[in-house]
Amino acid sequence: MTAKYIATIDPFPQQHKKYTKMYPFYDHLRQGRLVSTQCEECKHITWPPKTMCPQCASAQIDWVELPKEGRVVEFTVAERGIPVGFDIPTIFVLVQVGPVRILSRLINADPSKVEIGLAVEPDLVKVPGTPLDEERVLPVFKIKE
Amino acid sequence: MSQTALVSAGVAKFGVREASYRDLLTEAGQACFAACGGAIKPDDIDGFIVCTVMPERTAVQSHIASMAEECLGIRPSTLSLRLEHMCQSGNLGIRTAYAYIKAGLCKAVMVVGAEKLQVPVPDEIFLNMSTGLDRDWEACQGVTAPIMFAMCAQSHMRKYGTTKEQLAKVAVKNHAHSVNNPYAQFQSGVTLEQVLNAKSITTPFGLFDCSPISDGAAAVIVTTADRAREYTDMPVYIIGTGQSVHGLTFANHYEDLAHWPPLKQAAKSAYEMAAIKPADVDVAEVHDCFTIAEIITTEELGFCPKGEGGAFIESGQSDYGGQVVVNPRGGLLGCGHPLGATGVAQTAEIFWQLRGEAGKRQVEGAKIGLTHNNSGPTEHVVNIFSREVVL
Repeated sequence: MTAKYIATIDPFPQQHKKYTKMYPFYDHLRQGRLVSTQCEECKHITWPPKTMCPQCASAQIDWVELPKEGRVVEFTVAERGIPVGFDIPTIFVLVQVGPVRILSRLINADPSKVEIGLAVEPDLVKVPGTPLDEERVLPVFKIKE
Repeated sequence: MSQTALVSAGVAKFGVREASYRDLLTEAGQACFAACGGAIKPDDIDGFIVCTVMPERTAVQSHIASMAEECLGIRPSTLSLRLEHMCQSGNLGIRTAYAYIKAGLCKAVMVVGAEKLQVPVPDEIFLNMSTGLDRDWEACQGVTAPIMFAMCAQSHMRKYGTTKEQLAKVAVKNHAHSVNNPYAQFQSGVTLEQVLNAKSITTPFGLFDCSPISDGAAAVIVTTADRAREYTDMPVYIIGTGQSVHGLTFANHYEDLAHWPPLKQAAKSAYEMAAIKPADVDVAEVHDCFTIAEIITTEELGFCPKGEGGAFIESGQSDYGGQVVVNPRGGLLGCGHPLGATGVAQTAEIFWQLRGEAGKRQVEGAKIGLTHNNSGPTEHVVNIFSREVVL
């Protein structure tokens, strides 16, 4: 054993078809679309996306694009206590997007400009890849132009 | 059907410990055996539950129940179980032991909670802690527990006018309590100014609004009420228990982050089972992982009306001499929060309080005690204990 002391962790989800049924989410995101899943039977839309409907238990689900605009429902500006590798400060936002709420980050924003009701739009950030994916992507928000 | 009682308790000091994961759980288990003066030996324990969250990350060890039993000389013949439910693990272990005893499957169950969160590379700590959140959809964004509870605090402040001073007073009270607790991580107290002027973690929280990263362990023994009298003159009876869980992902569970309906439900189940009212509780060990959590918890437990948790702490109603002493042990803020160990240590405190053995922390005349853990705002467990004989 010559490896140096290391006990790291991969903080990002697997996004490749070989490892998750959620891969279409990331394919859509790469093309600029924030999507989630809708039940084909009862029409319930979930966040996060799911492979079965939590309302009627159907496995007949389809991808549906969420609105291009959301509103900040709650937020907090973090300066410490977040995992290594994330920006300081990070603005975390709970965003109402159509029928769902998403907890994510507000990027490229001045923390003093964030307020309840602020209009935001979906965006993406790139994060390190895996041996299968050259790069991975995560859904975030930016202030609506 | 026999009733269920606690007969012994032991705690390994919480904090930044110069001890391994197995050192800590051994220390707590041994203290629990020692506390009953040899009345109970490892051979007398037929059931074992270890409550622990992330030894796979911090000690690179799974298969924890067998390891812990071997450390303590226990060879279970009825139950050997590792229980993980993030921060609820400890009180859920007590609830589970209760059920196994009530079902007649076990005679005497030791419940041990243990965690080793301090690791040689500090950068790993918050990555490790983030494994308790929704990896794919929230933890991947850098979300950790403070983020979720800070949002609840922002909502509570906006809706009910709760102030940063009121949040700070929870920290001041609980640090004052932990001064008298030799097992606590912090034993020197903090002032209101220190809390309000501390470096920011995430708005509106400063450092002292947040429980720290801790190592620690605790153990109790649960048995039938009949056997309990053979071991001790003062058993503490488990008279109520409730749990309610509304999912892992923070984003979509509530219209209103200032309300925690699953806590209200878990408390209702426990109160009904115990046939008591909130006002009957003399001493409560609740999950103050963050200052706002104690405020919302006192509301949802029915100690004060909804929205008045800020006034409740401010008026001293949750301190000695008030309506109910909340967190005499010092809470998670003062004692530290070694995840799986916390609920078991809370139970140990209630055991001591109801026996009149809590020393300087003693709540005079305490007859009914309550413990509570959350694993996030959407998931709660509540247990209720009595010193009155229940047969």
